[in-house]
Amino acid sequence: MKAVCWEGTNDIRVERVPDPSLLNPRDAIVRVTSTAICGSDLHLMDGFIPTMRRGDILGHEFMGEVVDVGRGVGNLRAGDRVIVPFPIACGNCYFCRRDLWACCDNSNPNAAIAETLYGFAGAGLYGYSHMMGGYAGGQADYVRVPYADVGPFKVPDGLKDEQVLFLTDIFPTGYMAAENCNIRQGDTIAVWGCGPVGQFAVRSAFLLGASRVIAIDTVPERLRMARDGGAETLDSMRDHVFDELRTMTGGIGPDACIDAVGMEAHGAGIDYWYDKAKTMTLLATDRAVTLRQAIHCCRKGGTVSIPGVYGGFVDKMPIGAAFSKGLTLKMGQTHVHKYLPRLLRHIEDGDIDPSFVVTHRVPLDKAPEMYTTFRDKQDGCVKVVMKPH
Amino acid sequence: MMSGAFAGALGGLAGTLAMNATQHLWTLAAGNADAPASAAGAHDGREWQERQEHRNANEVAAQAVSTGVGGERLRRDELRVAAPLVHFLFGMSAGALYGAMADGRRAHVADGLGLGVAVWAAGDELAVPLMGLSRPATERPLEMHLQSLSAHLVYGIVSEVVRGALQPRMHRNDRGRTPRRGTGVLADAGSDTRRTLGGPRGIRVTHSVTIERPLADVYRFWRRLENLPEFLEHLESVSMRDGGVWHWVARGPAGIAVEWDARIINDVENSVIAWQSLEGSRIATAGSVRFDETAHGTRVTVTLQYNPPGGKLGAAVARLLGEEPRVQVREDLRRLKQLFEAGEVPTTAGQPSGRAARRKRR
Repeated sequence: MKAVCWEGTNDIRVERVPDPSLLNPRDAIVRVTSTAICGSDLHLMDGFIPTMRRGDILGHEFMGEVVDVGRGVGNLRAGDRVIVPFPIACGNCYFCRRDLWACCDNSNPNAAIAETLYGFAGAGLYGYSHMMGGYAGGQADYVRVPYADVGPFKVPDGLKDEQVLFLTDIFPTGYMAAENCNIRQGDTIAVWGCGPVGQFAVRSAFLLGASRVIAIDTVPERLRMARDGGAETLDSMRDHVFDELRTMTGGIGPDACIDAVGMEAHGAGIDYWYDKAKTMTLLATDRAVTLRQAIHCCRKGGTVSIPGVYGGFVDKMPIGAAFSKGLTLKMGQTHVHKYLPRLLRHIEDGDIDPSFVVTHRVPLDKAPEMYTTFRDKQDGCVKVVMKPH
Repeated sequence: MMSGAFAGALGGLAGTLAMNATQHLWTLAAGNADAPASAAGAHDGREWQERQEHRNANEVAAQAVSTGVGGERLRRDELRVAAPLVHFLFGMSAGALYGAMADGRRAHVADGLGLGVAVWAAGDELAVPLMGLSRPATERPLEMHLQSLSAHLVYGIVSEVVRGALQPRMHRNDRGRTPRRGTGVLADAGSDTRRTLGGPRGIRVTHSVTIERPLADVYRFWRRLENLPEFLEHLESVSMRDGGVWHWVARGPAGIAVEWDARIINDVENSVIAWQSLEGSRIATAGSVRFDETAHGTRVTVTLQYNPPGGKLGAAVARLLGEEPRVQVREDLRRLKQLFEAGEVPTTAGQPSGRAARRKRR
């Protein structure tokens, strides 16, 4: 079959690889009908995530049709149309039972590696480094789905792929980011980053009762897309973000701030160049310009919610600001299984149509150039959907 | 504690001797053949200070003690003994303190270097100037810092090597005493596991895991010892023989098969199972597993003790081959948990990747 493979930093290729097969009783094989490139895939492309190996198959946002199931999977059969959450979860451990699916205890075959770096290991993820389990991803013709009796959700035929595909990651991720803000009626939420996750965070904040959302980015078409979702916008290259936010909120500051950018933040200030120099010389792993600003701008007693991915270490963390303002910090990989049913209902009820975010539709062969287009935000690119078949 | 501290003190004595010699060699190399001018000559390790400040912290300290207890100022021939005494007492005290902390551990050069740096930094760089026994460290030329540091590094290494060499001998003399770190499973005083595995002998690993399943299920599974090879990777089989004796077959380092007989010496339903190898079996081993109900599920705590094939040397070689006992037990218990909770052990072995494609192209 064909698959999108990581062959090194800035080296993404489509290769012919063997078809996947059932390896465990609870496995299923899914024929992929739609798969997307996630912003977090760019961290892999840029070489920011450790423990990648040449030849690893990428992709953790995918859906398709079940073609084979192991003897331990009783609830699926060949022909079922399913979407597959990006965290792999066993469904039975302490964490799965408490809706903390991305913290599953049993799904990471390389838990020991993650424990070395993080103390304890999170769930295995598709196509996201060996530390995260080393599972082959779904940017391919076919994909193996472990714990298939727990992960895949059947979707109604009436909904198009593009309407439900993003339930595998970015919609629940934006939603959990907003939910983590503990929104009360009338709240103002500031969202840094108007990429796909930021777009869903904007709309989810409104779904959860925010009265104002202020979206911050530098790319005009992304800011326009956020305005289409009801947000007011700031251009962080032009506007002084802190002053603007303070003025817009009557001197209080946003009730909650969402960092939908993560470890590869861009900026113009001295701390950006400081971070950039440190990551380039391997003295730090993550750039935290956005996170620092979000902490700085948040109102007293507010919440900073972090859906953007961080992988290692940052410094110049303004912990004094967070402390003296009594902030709450919430973060983590998304517990997709928890949010998926309720968000599917929102889609079925017509509250939101996630396909608004798609700007590029291409065959799988175009993956290498699309990774570059998406990373460099060329051609108005916000979200790429690939069709393997 | 005593034996560790005692070995450390003797190490400190040897280290201080070596340190004095190092200082003197440095002084000669620095072209100061006429130094030191102090009463004790090269025997109290303060030559850098004598060269730089024309005084000697050990002499100053000895004088302070002497006059402090109401005595008179020491004469030069008295200082010849008193000043080295101060230095040796200091070196042995530091060694004893360190030895007590490192009790039972093998010697490592890196630990010795650490000891040397610590004594140098805490002593010459901090405490000595603070107590007025030398001029401030900031006024000291680099060469004097380096002479003191290198002498203390030699002190640390020699102390550590001597301490490590002395310790096992002392423990062997302990044989008659109760093993200090034995487990409850070693209750049978007649067995040779106690002699072989007591105190610092053998390898001992403890690890625990919490399983989200009823305690009775986990206990019952473990009590059928035949089940153990399902998750203990190095175990080939466990089978029942006559008279309550279990025959164990395992793969040791480099795939060598090892076999032994063991019997259960303690079994309290839903609480604890303990076993011990028979007297005279090739491998001396003992183990126990405890089951506790917690808010997070059933906690399983395993303690394994064994005398590895080839002794400690064999264990060190096995470690070089990547067979760290602590890691093995952790991964074994992880498999147990995965089997219970998920019904299978997660794997990616056999999945596709671009690596296979590349191999074909070549």
